Amino acid sequence: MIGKRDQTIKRAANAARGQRVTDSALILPCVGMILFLLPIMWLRSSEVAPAAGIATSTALIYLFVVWAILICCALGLALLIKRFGVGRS
Amino acid sequence: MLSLDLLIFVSLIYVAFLFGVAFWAERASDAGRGGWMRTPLIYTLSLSIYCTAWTFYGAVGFAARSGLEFLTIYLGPTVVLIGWWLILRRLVRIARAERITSIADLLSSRFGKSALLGGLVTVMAVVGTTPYIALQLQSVTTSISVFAMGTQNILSSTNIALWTAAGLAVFTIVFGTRNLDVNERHSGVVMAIAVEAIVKLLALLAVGVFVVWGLAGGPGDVLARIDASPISQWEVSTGRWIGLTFLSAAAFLCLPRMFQVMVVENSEESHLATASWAFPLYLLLMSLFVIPIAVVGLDILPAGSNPDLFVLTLPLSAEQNGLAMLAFLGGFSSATSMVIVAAIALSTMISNHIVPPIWLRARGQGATISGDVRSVVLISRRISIIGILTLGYLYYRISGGGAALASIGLISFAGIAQILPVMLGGIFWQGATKIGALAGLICGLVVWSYTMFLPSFGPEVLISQELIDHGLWGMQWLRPTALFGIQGLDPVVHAVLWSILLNSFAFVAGSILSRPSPLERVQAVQFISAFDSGPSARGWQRGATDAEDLLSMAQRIIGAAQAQNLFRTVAQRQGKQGYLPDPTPQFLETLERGLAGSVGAATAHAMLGQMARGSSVTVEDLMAVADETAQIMEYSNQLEAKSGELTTTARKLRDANDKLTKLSIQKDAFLSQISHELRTPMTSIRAFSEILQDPDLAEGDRPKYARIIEDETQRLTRLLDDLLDLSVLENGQVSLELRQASLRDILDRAQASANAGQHIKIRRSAGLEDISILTDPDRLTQVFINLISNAVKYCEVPQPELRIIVNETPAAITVDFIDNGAGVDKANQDMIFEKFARASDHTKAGGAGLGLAICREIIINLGGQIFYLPGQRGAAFRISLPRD
Repeated sequence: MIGKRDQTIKRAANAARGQRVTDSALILPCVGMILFLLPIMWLRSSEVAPAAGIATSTALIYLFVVWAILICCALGLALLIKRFGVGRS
Repeated sequence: MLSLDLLIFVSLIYVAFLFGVAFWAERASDAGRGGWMRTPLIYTLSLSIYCTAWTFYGAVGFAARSGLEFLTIYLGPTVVLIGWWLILRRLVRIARAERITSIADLLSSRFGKSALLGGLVTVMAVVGTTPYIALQLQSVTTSISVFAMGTQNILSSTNIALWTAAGLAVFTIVFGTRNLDVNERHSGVVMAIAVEAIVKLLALLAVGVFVVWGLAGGPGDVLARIDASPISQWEVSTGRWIGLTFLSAAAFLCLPRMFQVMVVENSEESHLATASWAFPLYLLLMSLFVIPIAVVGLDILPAGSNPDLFVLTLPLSAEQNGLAMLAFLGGFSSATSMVIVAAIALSTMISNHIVPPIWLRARGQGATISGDVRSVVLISRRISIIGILTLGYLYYRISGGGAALASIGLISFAGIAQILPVMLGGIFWQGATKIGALAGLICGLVVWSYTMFLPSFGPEVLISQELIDHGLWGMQWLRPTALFGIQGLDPVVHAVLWSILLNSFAFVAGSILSRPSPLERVQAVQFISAFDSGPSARGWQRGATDAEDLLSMAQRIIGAAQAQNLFRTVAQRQGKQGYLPDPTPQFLETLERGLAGSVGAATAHAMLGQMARGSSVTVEDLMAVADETAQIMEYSNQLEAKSGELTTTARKLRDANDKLTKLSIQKDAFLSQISHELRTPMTSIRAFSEILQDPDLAEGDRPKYARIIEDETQRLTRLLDDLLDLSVLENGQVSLELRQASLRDILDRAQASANAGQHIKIRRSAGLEDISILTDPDRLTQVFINLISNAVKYCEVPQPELRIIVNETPAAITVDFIDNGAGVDKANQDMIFEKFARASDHTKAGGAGLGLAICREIIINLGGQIFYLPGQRGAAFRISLPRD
């Protein structure tokens, strides 16, 4: 009886974890989109004094770092999804 | 400088190598050793056809002109892929379940297997892809022309374009149309593309590394050069940043070639999980060195150099011929892989959505499919490939190869992106209808053509300068570059914004205002509930379809061996021998999906529809389904009624059994009774006979005893007479002498015969007795005598009295015999008409107890009834006789 209850608890915990993983999988692209669209709020050099604008080199580093972080998150999620077998019927 | 001949030679070797790889992969796949080809890695690499020559060469040019804006082309797909859980997974699941062969097939299938919609999407795809193919041809010729600079060669640029197109057509036909079932997947093509993906990535990385560490002094120096370059500042406009990111994401989902590799060629859903991070990584690596190459190129190459070719010209300027050759092969790979997959995807769409509807219509109604459909489809596919490449080549010739690569790519993207609203609506919104989809697509196509495609050829080519300046029919608000008078927007953003907005609006409005057909409803549910596993909605019903006809048709489409295999498997599942299963709805659905893998959903549906005429889902079918439910309910009601009937029968049987048992007991009782009745007189007769034989008997006693013997003998005789009489009456063998008689006469006779006057006072209602009835007077007299005698015998009061009351009703005549005695106990009332039943003391009655039994039988034979009338303060019998 105890073994059975443990199994049930384990299954429930797994399901909850799977739910968190799939929720993250849905949120990640939204986060990515927001981070990628942030540059539209940067000031452009033509509007203010040239020195106040964002340099291409800075923007380049920002975008690539965000990109790399997103790739790492996607990798982590892919591994978690495979581990929990989420979405498999 | 690298010699052009060497370049051509190396290119040819590279092409031969690709052919070899494709051949080998096909061979391995045929031999069943192709498992490793269906790995997530190969899948991810095949997605790289997104990176075309536009990416390879054009991105650097794009970056040199507008800085970081080029990144939008990669950021869109990155977002789509890391969001694979939401859209791509659903697309793959649906495509797997419905055996989708192309994006046109997806929409056609979703909206009621509409051939019209499939055809429209195909046309849009061809229109949107043709400039893109032209772009690839252009990039190949331009890149070769870099090497041809300064040399005299017989190869003109148009020649190169022509030969490239021809070579690509051959490759595509050989490996892309080898088999028909798209779900078998093109292992050769996919393998070649994977190799090309690696080549182009390596080439670009190699050039990038060379530029950063060879030409420039490392990352720090490159960043410094960026700050010093013309693109040092963040100049990206908000509209373009958002618009282009959206456009690239939309195109990534809708491009026919992307749909082909990402959805159709996907062999396992889990590959998406790997691609979700691996492909963004690939894109990151592809774009990592774009800005450095652009900046260094702008820095060290002479002013006026074409930035689209920096990838080639930078190594060449540094005399790095090997690297330049690798870069060329990278660009060549990018161009060829895109063209090959695009041609396969488009030819599939054309052969499934343009040719069969025309072909089926041309053959007319009721045409049984004759000839090998496989060959028709394959030939149409091959001709389509040649046609698509010819179109691309013509576009290249007409456009003159002048425009910058990036702008052509964006026009293509925007055209294809028009499919996005309908596609997303189709997989997420159950209320989307075919009319809405058609309205949206046509609206998007028209707006895109008007604002982007037609003006792209330049003024006075397809539309006049007058129209561009003053709008259609002179209406300012219809100017192609400033719709609704909104000016100042970037042309691309302007076109994308309006085309997608109006497209979505028309789609939603059309869907809300129209009603879907039954088949559309069924398909909508299938698509929306792709993740709820369960029996699919029924598409076919058992009709008059002949399994043999189906087999002969299927053989022509998916091949003899495969068709026979399918049929035998199904037959076995149905528990049948041989190749011909019953054409059940499930089987027809399976078959339709099998055929859809080869010729598309709409065509497969139309073909099966022709075979099983009228079997496709119509309102009538849905009603039949409802009828079936009604039938089942009726059947269940019948069962219930039958079960009730059985219960009744069982009860009747039980009653009959009880009665039989009772009768058996009665019979036993009767036998013992009659033995007893016979035995009593017999015993006295024997005893007195013995006494008479005694010589010592006093003479005076002898006559006394002899009289006793005689009395007993008479009693016996009477008993036997009664029994005989009863038996005759009970068996209905009695012959009645019916005639009209007066009831009064009968009663008079009975009263006289019973000789009752001196023992009992009889009161009669004389007035009512004047009735003439049809009866057997003798028998009726017998009954009356019996009843009067009974009253005489049993009425034990000081002044016995018997009332005889005659009554007349419309239905019957009743005669009541009521005395003023003690009556019959309630317990005995049921029994008195039985044989040998006597309510009181045996000896006193002097009869055998058969009187009332005989009375009852006589009355029954006369068609009447006799029963005891309780509650009359004495014994009361009622005889009811029918009127004439």
